[in-house]
Amino acid sequence: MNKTLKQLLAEAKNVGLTSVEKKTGQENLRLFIKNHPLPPVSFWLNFRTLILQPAPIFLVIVLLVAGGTTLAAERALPGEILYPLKVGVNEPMRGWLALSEQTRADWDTKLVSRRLEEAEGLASEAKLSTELNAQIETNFQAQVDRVQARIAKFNDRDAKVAADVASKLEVSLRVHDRILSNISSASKEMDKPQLDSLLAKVRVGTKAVTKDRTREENEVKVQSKPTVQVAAEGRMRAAQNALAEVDRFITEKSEQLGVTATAQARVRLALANQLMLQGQAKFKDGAYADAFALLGQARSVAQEAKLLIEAKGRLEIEGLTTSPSFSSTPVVRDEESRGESGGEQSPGGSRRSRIKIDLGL
Amino acid sequence: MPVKKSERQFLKLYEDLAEPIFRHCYFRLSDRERARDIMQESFTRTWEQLTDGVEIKNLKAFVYRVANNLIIDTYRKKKESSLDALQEDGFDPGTDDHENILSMIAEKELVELLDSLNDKYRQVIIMRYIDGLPPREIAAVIGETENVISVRLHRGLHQVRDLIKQQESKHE
Repeated sequence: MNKTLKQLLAEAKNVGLTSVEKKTGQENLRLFIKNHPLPPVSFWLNFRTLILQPAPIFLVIVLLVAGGTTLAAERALPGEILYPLKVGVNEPMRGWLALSEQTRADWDTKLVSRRLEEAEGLASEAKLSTELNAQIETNFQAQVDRVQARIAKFNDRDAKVAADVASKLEVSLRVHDRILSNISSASKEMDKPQLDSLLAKVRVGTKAVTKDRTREENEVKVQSKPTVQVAAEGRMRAAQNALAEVDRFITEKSEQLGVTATAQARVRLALANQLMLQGQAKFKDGAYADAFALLGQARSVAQEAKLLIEAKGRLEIEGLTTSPSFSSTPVVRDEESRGESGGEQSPGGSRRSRIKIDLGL
Repeated sequence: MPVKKSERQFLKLYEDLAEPIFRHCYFRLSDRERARDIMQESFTRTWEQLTDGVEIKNLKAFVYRVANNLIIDTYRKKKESSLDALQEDGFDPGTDDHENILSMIAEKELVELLDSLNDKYRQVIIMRYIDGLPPREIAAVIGETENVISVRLHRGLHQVRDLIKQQESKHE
């Protein structure tokens, strides 16, 4: 065969799909589009368009006034007046600011946590009704499904990123499991069924995402040595950053935490550090797959410590005369003492009193 | 229910672009089935970006870019074995007639030729001479300047010419 390149390239244009292949492809795409419709143009999309254009001064004033309300909405719980603003405006806007797929996955993971924090907030005030719990459970499950869908998408392109997203969600769910279990132990009987139901959902979610994380990590480990080395290096940097961040965080919060809780947090950080050193040693020996796993664990332990400290700050009673305790039995405040306590004033006017929980930091 | 305008436009894009994208993937990977899968996935992934609210100014370039990323992933996941796979799987021309056999041989020659090139050159040559994209559009897909694309095309063609000369001298 002595064809010129020009002839070869011209004939190459004849290579194509058969009519059956093309038709099948079109039908499959049509079905895909049907199952993944474009979102309707919503209020917040119009709002985004508005703020991207030169805004007349009166609109700027409106935005400034609205800004105070949106900030207040951030603390709103299900059943409160500003809650629809939180989930319908604030959260979509923050999601819109997430430009990369990974930051979007991180935000979706954060939303899972926000739903559980709301349940914890309500439960610690003995306000977690059956209806509110059902609402939270539905939203929680939808968010977990969303993160898992992102993990599946990442799996096709980069198993390491998929593993990291799964790992972050796993840590978050484990921490919330601990918090909810503690609140449940301290709660009145009437709140327990809701908490137990939510806990069951959290545990199912944790099991599923642990499976995802393990699968993704195994997929990384079977890749070529240079690829696993790069993945392990990435995890090493992430673990070092996480440990440094948590170290700073503990130092900042030490006064609020108290002596014992700070010491407990430092013990956790030391464990994370130990895992990191083991990971670094494996890396040095060229056992990149083992290093990848250990460094991932180091980061997870550090992240867990930070989330527990944040939860402690979020759920502690304000103005308590007793210092934080680390007894195995959580302290429960009874009805009579609630009215005498210092506590947050809720928007509705009634005092917020809270169950003290022991997170075993 | 009538299909919305945006969905209609996207399906029209598929109608226009499915074959060129498939062809592009085929000559990069020398695997018809994989090429078909990647072509299809390029469209579904692009649609997913649209449902996520991502604004895409140049849909055609975007679909090509997605296809390119999927091709690179395939390279990473397994070692390419283009000509061997070709010989194992064969083509499916449908008939045994003379013209189709000649086409098969021409395709094999071209695949072998392209396979010997550095992927950087292979990519631009396929896009320019098989997909028919002008340098400006290739630049938009790859994310390089037109100048860089022109240089790559020039060097790629030189490499092809050298490969053809080598093959001819072997046959003599």
